[in-house]
Amino acid sequence: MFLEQRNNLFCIFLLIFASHATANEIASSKLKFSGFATIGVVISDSDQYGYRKDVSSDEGVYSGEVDFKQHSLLGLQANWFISSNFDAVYQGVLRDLAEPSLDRYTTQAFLRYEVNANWSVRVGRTAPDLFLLTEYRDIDFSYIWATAPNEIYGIIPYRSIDGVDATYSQRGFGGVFKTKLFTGSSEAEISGKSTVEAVKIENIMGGSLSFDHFNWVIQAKHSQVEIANEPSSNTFLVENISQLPDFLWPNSLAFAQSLLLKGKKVNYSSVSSQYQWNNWLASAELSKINSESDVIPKITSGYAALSYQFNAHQLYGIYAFTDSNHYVFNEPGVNEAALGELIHGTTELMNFYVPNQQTISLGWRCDISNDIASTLQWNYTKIADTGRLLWLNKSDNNVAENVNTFLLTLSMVF
Amino acid sequence: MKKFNQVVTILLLLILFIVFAQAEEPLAVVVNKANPVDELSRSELIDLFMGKYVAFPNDVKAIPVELNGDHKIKIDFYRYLVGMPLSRVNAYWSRLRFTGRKRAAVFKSNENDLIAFIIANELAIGYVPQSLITEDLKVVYILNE
Repeated sequence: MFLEQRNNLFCIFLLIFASHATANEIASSKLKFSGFATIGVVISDSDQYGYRKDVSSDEGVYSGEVDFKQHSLLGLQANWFISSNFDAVYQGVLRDLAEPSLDRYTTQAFLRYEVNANWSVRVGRTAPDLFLLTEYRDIDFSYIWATAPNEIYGIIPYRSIDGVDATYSQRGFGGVFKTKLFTGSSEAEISGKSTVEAVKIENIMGGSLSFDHFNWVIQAKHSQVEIANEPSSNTFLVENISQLPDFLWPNSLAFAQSLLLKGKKVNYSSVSSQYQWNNWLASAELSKINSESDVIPKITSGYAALSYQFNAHQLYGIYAFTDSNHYVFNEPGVNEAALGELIHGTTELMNFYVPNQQTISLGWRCDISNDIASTLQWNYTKIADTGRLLWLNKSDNNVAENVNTFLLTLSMVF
Repeated sequence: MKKFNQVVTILLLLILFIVFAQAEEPLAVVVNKANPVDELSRSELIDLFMGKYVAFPNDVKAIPVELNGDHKIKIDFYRYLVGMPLSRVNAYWSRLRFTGRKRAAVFKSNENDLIAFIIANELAIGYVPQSLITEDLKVVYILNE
């Protein structure tokens, strides 16, 4: 509650700040407005698994539907150049949200102080730097593909971090080394078939290292976060299991406690690289998520992509995968005949965060002008029967299925 | 025969004129005359204009000055510098700008305004056709020489 009020106050402060800046500074052109937008159409051919851009979305795209909501968005940004080394940024992104609010639409709102050429410090709301593309996955014009691979990015619902970061850059060995440290908290939603759960994380401690040599880049990132709230579905199950007598469920209290997420730590790590030669661009990323909780399994994901450019066109292919452990109920001494419903609920909860799938994508990007591009992408996804986190499942049964998804986007910056 | 030779000569002159007319003028990367930096390497220039390390070799912060929109000089500059069409440079910069990683460059609508800004700002750096270089500017790199 306090966190929500604090964020709303923060947003109101920044809006007042932005409007004040508008009134006072527009004449001296210290205030600059810019933006980005995407109009995206999605069709998919599964009756059971609904396509979604990421786990925050509570609506899927099923066979026979034409969706404009998953990928369409409008981002507006105001930059106020206060002095040569001090500036403020506000960015709002309007898009379809499970729980819309000014707080969620506000993706960036920070003050930056550039100490010198090497050091830069930002305070406020910034984009999360968990994996290679998490900072700019919604700025579709900025990368070749129609969307960032779901196998890595569909798992992450967070769009911002409220806190502080410091970046140090240094030239060396013909390139630029960059180190960034950040800390803060964040909130987002994770949606299931019939539930939308608020997820709050705090005590985020993260860092990234990169070496950029213009035509090749390598990056490594690691973050640790602490879950700050208990999802209601966990609480409900914990309350029911913890009340069971030992003859029905031995050590039920201890098991129930192991389902609680609040206070548990989750680690996000990734290594990535990009190499460009002539008209070719190759990129790859490998990421890992692990946690102290049994409810959030160890997830290994990755992709490799190759694109070729000729004139205003780019053709590309991506292979992406995500792999995690599927939970099978095997608690010793539990009376399974009497507790069928609770066991089903436990299995559902333990597998809620389990993705297992592979996707091959082929696409074509056409730069219509220097600021507008259109991208057509075909995804062929093999969903395993043990992991459908990234999709909305209409049925209670989890079956393996191969799904075709077509995305057509028109993205622009202005 | 004499008339034939005249026609050939005129044609040759015409071709030479077209070739010279189409040859693209080198672009000079210029700084304020008071700037102590005398030259930049290509990789330093790339780091500077692609927002990777926006400083001169002496680690003093630089202020890159750009031409607005789809200006031909801007298109040529990035083609010579990084071999990329402007659409890809814009895509790259949209990453830096909209993730709040970098402050946007200063933009000017024409070469004269750009030159005036560099003359007035000791930390500014920009690019102009070689023919527009004046005594008030210091050339630190020449592209497409």
